[in-house]
Amino acid sequence: MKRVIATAKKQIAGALSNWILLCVLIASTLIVSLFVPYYLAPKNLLDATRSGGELGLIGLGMATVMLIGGIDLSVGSIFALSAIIMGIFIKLGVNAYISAVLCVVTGLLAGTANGLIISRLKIPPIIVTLATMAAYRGIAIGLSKGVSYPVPQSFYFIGQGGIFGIPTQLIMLVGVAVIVSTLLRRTTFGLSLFAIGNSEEAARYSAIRASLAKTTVYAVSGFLSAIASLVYVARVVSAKADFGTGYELDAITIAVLGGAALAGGKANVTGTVIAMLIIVLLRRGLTMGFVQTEVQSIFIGLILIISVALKGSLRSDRVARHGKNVSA
Amino acid sequence: MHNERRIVLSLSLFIIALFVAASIKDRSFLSLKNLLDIAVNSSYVAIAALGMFVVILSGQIDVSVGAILAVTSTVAGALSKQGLPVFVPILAALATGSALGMLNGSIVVGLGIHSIVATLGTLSIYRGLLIYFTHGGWIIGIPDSLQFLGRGSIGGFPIAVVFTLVIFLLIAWVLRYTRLGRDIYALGSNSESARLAGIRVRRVQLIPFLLNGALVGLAGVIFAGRFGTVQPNTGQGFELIVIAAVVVGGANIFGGSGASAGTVLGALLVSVMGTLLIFFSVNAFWEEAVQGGIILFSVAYYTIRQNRTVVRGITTSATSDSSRRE
Repeated sequence: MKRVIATAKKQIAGALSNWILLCVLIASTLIVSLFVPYYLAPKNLLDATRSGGELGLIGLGMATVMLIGGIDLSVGSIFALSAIIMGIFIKLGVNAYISAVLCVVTGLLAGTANGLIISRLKIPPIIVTLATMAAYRGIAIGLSKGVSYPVPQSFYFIGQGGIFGIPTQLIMLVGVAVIVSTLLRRTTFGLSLFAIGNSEEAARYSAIRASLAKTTVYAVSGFLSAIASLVYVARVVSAKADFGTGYELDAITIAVLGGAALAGGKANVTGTVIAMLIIVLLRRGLTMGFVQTEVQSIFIGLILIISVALKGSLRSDRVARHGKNVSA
Repeated sequence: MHNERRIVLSLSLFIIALFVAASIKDRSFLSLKNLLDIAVNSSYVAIAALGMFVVILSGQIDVSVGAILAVTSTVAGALSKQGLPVFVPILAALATGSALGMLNGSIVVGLGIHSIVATLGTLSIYRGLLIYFTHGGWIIGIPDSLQFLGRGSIGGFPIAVVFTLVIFLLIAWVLRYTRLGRDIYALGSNSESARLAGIRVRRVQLIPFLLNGALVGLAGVIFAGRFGTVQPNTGQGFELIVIAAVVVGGANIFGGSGASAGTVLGALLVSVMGTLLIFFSVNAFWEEAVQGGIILFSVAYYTIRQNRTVVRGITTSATSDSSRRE
């Protein structure tokens, strides 16, 4: 009985956090709109979701990685590397769409490499992806020698177009969110990820092929980064090795804000999407209010810390607060 | 301890091998000037890495060090231009660093937020505040009094290197021979057992963050003195270099094991890469890729060897579950 109550409490806390996020989203949007004229214009808000959609894709990958208790610091570098690969092939005269496929394949391979090293060699993901973060970015810089590659015009619609005025990025994000959510809730694979996140040891004893599942998750994270990169390249119509610098921090921020826990075992797709909207819309508002990009990060950092602290204080089990969280 | 000694030994051999290879390629690599340059360039990385080492040893991490480096080097640079005696900007940078580190620690311990998340947040906040106050301006024309710390030497021995060695010896001594040091090891191995053993976990946990902040402050002073200018984006990615130095130095990223000597060697290896690539006439564009490769290689090496010793049943503690621990 106790356990049932505990589970119920957990579920309430989960549902509650989505409502809290939604309230934060509405409140921050309203507050910003008081100071910034034309901020609430639908066209403006929709336009903000272009960069948001790209960030959201990476964030969903990060949330899935964090579900299994991992972390992927290399997402920004995979973003850059896939962009550069696409740029190089386009420059070599390869068809733009084939280059786009190669871009996505690059992301998939880079993610798979992360996953294989993590699961086969059993090295902590934070170190592996720290190393590949430098390595992938380094390869992107080394291959491109700091040059930026142009992209053909036939490509622009992916990054700049939309259907009925809704940006392609937002449509893609919603599509991916539905797929990820369905995978996590309705498939054996998804449920096995929760099991791994809660206890890898126990999952393994339950005949779950943990290392295969882990590799898949990192591959998906790389894949989503590459998709985001593809759309971004089509939006800014060039490919450069310094793309996506610092994206890992943004992605972790929205994943954590959305309800992911560094210890694993938690995933909230809706929350991640709302968290992305909070960050992106706030950024847009601050930019329109002539606040420098770097100064905006004060607000982002504050939101991250305050929301995680609030969530922690909502949690009922005190053991988790005092015993677990203080240690790594 | 046995394992740590072997790591320090194999790292030293690896670095010596690299140096020998570079000097075969070009004799001037082993010139005193070049070696001193390498030592000075790695000194501020080593000082910050020693701070990070203690934080990681205690089972936490601090990813805001790049922002703290930017803030403290700005404080040191700006104050030294006011014509104040040189100890004022130094102390101010140390105090600022300590305060920021302490704030990180307080958020982690007081609010119970995981240190990656907490310091990710303060990373944004510190850098944002810095840009807000400096309006993104550069600090140029740092007076000679401060540059002396980054460039000067006593009897042919660079001051920055002397600082590094003193700090290294102090930290190694505290960690090995004092109660505080043993408490930090205990905390990093298992904070729950440390608490049950009567260690005041919350109080001890603050000290690594405080120390780390102070050391990054000192690194900031040396940085400002070494380069003579401070940009607002100083230290971007510095956290990764520093964490890489600690990890290459053989410390367990989950805390509880590692040697400070390893960290110093790790810092040397990570920061000498740029110079080495020039000597091997590799295009500088590849530096970051090689750095990533070295981190990966060294960690894979440690992990594989560690797993092998566990299977043989030789190693005792701190290897229980390297994949994940809460």
